[in-house]
This record gives sequence, C-alpha cells and structure tokens, in this order.
Amino acid sequence: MIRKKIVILGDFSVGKTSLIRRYVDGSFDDKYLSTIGVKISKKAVDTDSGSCELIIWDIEGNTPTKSIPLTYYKGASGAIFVVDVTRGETIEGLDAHISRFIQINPDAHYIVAYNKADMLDETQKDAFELDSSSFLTSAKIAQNVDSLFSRITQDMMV
Amino acid sequence: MAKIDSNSDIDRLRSLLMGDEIEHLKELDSRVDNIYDSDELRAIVTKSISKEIENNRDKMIDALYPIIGGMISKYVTQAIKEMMQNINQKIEQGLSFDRYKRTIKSKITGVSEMELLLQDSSNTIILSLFIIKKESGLLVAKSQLEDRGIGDPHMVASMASAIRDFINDWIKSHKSQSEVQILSYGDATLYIESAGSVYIIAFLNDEPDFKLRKSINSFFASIIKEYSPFFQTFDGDDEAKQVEQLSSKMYNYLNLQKSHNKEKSKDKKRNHTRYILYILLIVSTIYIADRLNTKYFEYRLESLIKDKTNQDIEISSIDGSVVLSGDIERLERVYEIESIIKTQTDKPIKNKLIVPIRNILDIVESKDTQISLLNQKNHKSITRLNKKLKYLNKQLNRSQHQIYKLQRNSVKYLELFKRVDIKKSIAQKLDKIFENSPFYIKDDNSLDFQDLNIFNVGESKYNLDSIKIVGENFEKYVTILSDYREYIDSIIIEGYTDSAGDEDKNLKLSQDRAFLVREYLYQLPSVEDSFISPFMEIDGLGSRYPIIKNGVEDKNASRRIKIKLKLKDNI
Repeated sequence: MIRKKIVILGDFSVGKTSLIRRYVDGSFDDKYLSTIGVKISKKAVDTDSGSCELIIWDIEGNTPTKSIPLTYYKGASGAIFVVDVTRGETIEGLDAHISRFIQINPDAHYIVAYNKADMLDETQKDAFELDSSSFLTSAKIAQNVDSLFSRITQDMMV
Repeated sequence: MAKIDSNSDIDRLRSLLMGDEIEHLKELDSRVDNIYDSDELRAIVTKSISKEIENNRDKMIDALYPIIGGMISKYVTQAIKEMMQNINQKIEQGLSFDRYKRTIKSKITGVSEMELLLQDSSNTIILSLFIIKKESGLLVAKSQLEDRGIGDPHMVASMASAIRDFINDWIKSHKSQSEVQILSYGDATLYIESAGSVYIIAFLNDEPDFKLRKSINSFFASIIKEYSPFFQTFDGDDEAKQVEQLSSKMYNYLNLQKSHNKEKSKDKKRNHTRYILYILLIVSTIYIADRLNTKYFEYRLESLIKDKTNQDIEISSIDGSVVLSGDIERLERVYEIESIIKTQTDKPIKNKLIVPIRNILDIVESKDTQISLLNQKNHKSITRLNKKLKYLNKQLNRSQHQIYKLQRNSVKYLELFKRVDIKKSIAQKLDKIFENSPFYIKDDNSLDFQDLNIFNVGESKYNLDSIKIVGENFEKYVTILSDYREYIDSIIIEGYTDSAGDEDKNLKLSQDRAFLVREYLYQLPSVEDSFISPFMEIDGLGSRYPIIKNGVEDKNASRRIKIKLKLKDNI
C-alpha cells in the first residue's frame, strides 16, 4: 500500500482537529497536540488511482507563546488549509500559511477547507466562490469532510 | 566516388578541411591544462561542491555515511575508552563483593572492569527496528520480534518522527549541533541513528550499551550503503521489492541479536556454575589447609610436652579449645603440661587427663596435713591478735576520756579568757574616766569616798554637799557599767562607821548609811535611764575597816561610803 503524509494547517481554533476526528480510523491521544504541537492520525482511502493510507499530521496553529517546528511540514505530499468562516482574520491569514508550506514543499498539493459552514445561512454560503480545490465544510454536521480528504488523496495519487 | 579507407587519408583530409579548428583546439587544450592547475578553477570547483552539498545534503550524507560513520565511530570509540578508563579508576575506589568478583574476573580474562560491568548489565533486547524517511516520517521498512511487536508501526513511526523533530528543533534553538539519539519512556527506550534521508529507530527494553549501539550503527551503515538511492526516492510505497529485502535483512539482524543475547545469558549461567565450583574448590582448600594446620599444631604440642615432661598425651582441637586426653603418672604433671600449652596458644584448655587415684589420695592427705598445720598456726595468731585488739580498745577509751576532759577544760579556759577580757575592758574604761579622781581605787575599780565628811558622828543622814559629789561620781561609774549589764552580778554600796561606840550599833548605823545613799542614787536620772537599779545592793560593814593615817584613826574618813563592782562568775 502507498502511504502519504498530509498536514492539516490553519490558525488556532479553526476546527482542524474536529475535522480529522470526524474522518479518521485511528489516532493518537489529543495530549500530543498540546505537548509537541502535532497529532498523528491515519485513514485508508480508496481512489480511482488505487488505495492509499493517509498519515495525517494535525499541526497546531501558532500561538504567541508557542511556535511549531517547520520540520513538521517537511515531506508532506499534501496539505489541507483550514479557515473558520465566522472569523475573517483566519481567512486573511490563509495566504501566509500556504506560502510557508509551498516554500518547504514546492511540489505538494493542497486544498482549502472553509470550515464551520453550519454557522452560515444559504445566502452567506452562496457568497463563497469555490473551485475544485476549496470546500465549505462542517465537522459538526459532517458536511464535505469525506469529499475534502478524497480530493486531496486523488490529487496526490496522480 | 573514391573510397576513403585508411587512417592516414582521413588524417590528411582532416588537416585540409579542419586545419584552423585543430589549431584552435590544441590552443584550448593547452589553456584547459593550465586551468586545472590554477587556483581559479579550484575556487570554482570548491564552490560548486559546497553548493551541491547544500542543495543535496541528504544524498551526500547517504554516500558518505558508511565511510564517515566508521570514522566517527573510531573517534567515539576512543573517547568512550578514555571515559571507561576514568570509570575504572572510580570503580577501583569502591568496595563491594561484586567489585572483588569483577576484579578477579578482569584479572583472569584480561577484560577491563568497565566492560565487564557493561556486560553484566547488558540484557537489552531490540524489540523492533524501523527505518523511517526523515522528511515525511513515513515508515520505509520495519522488523519486529514476533511476540513483542508494535501495534500500529506506521502511526508510531510518524509520531516518533514528530517527537524527534520537536526535540531536535528545541536543541537547535539552543544553539547545539547535536541531535536526539535516545528517547526513554517507562520501560521503553528508542535509540535513534540518523543518516541522510532516513533514520533508524531501534525500540529496546532498556538503554543500549556501547557494544549494542556500535552493532546497530554498523548494521545501519551497511543498509545505507546498499539502499541509499532507494531511500532517496522512496514515495511511501511499501510494496516495493527493496522494502521486502530490507525487512528480511532487518529481521535476520534482530534474530541474530536475540540469539546472541540468549547465548550471553547461557554464558552467564555457565559462568555462574563455574563460579560456584570455584568457590567450592576454594572453600574446600581452605578447610583442608586449616585442618592440616591444626593437626600440625597438635603434633607439635604433643612433641613439646613429651620432650619436657616425658608424658605421652593426645591433643585435639574441638570448638576452639585445646582438649587434653591420656594417662599421666602424677597430678603435678597436669600443671606442667597446662603451663607449656599456655606458652604456645591463648585457646582455652579442656583437661581430660587421667591421673592414678592413689596419687590423688596421697596428695589429698598431704594437703589435709598442711591445712591442719595452717589452722593451728592461725589459731595462735588469732589469739595474739585478739589480745592486741583489747589493749588497743583500752587505749582508745583512755584517749577518748582525755579528749573529753580537754574539751571541757578548753570551754572553761575560753570562759575565763572572756571574763578576763571583759574585766580588763571595764577596768581600762573606768581607769580612764576616773584618771584624776581622788575617790577611784584602781586596784579593785571601786569608788571610796573618804575625806568627804558625808556623815556626822552617830548619824545615818548624809550631808547634801557631799552626797552630790558621790552622786556625780556614781553617774560617771554607771555610764561605763551600763554597757556591761549582762556581765554584772551586783554593784555593792558599802556603809562604814568610825571605831567609836558599840560595834552592833555601828553595824546597824553603817547599813542605814548605805541604804540611804542607795535611795539617793536611785533617783539620779542616769541611774534610772541605764536600768542599773536592780544590780544595786547594800552592805553595812560597821567599823571593820577604819582609815588609819600616821598610826591614828582618821574618824572623819572612816565614816564613809564605798561603791564596788562584782562581775558574774560564769562569764
């Protein structure tokens, strides 16, 4: 089986861990996230290109008192950037997250999850201009979570 | 078309067509030769190698690790040897049974004590071996002991990788160039060795010793050497044939380590058996040597006793005592034998020697006679001593009586001295106060009022002028005596008459005179204040002591008053 490392990135409290918890088969205890800033989970995914096991690195968002080692980004084949649709500043910080990741992994694939979509009404949802590499997601109501991970897996397997 | 088939033709054609180019090429060759030797090119090449290393550091390390790893190991080995020498020195300062055991073993085998110490503690087993892609943390290959494998190796590999990255990041932020190599948690230890694009993690049940680390590193170096290109291009596909090969090699290595460990345990058990045998042998030897020594000691004593007393006895050592047995001819020999033994040993002597009964009875009889003689002697001595004691008691009683007498006398003498002192003191004061008085009699410290015409003939009534003089003198007298009241028996006022007339009448007259004078003196203020009145007594002496002047009685002087002092006898 092919295994791929993907990293989940985004500001503090945008719902990264909730998304993964919704999706994965198995993971380490959450305490590792608060201790060393990363939590490893895994998920087996079947795509048109074959089976793949994702090794998902849930990387804690930087806080003023804690900086996360950039070495966590290394060797990732893909990344999911998560923002909170109810907090504009998380969307504004998206470019910085992407450029930091691309600088370390120029050949990697990435997609964006506009999370906490359950907090939006239909009009607000329509205002988002989404393409094939961006999703409105909600860990709470399991909206587009599978699609999100399937897409990034497919991209990586090509 | 002419066929060109010889090399000379081709050369000629080449010189005709490409003459200029060939010349230019020669010139370029010459310039290139010069460049190879120049510093300029060396600078360019060095720069490009540096650049290459910087861009493809992992590739370079993969290529160099098998060589450099060995070199580093060599230096590390030297450093560890020095460290071990230091530890050996420290160990030499310690004292314990294990330490002595190690020292002996080290002397026998020639292996240093530190290595033996490490061997002793080395029961470390490699439970799993992971080779992990450094950047992604993906597991490239793994091998685990069947019964002690890790449940989800891919997750564990990634997590271990994250932890390693986290710690290395922290180490680098503290300006250190080293990398984490040992991680311990509870009973588990992770030994991490890194090279180029991958690192190896050995999961162990304890911290690996130097030998085990060296073994893991050597194995890792051989893997790197063989699979470096594969590691660099590994994309997460664990179905690649290299992964299978690698896993197989790692499995073999693990089993080799396991069997080596088992062998070591067996060796250890064998060694234990050998040590027990050694100890038994040593104990037996010590026991035999001790027995031989004891026997020799017994034999030597027996010979010595034979030489000195001509007695054949048996000597044996039982429970730390020297036991004597055998027959001897006389009891005296027992004492001789015992004294000989005491010069040779401090051990207690148990005597089981047999002496003929006849000899003992003789000795007892002789001892009885000696005792009887002694008793007689003693009786005489006791009688003599009793007599002496009685005499001494008598002397003692006498001495005690003497002492009692002396004590009593000394009290008397003391009283006497005191009285003399007081009398002397009163006399001195009276002498002084009546220094120029015509009435004061120094001999008996009295006042004798002659020549004062106190009384007319046949009368007891005193003359006023005269009595005033008597009063003044008595007041002075009282001033001194009032300080000695406790010693005074009495102050006697004596009345006198002249020798004319009947003596009985004179006696009566003298008493009346004394009485009337005392009455007068009672009224004096100083007499009242000094509380001297109770001591004042009177006495009438008639014409018993007339005053004679030039052989004729001075009758005026005879009719007089005398005042004198009497002190207590028991002062």
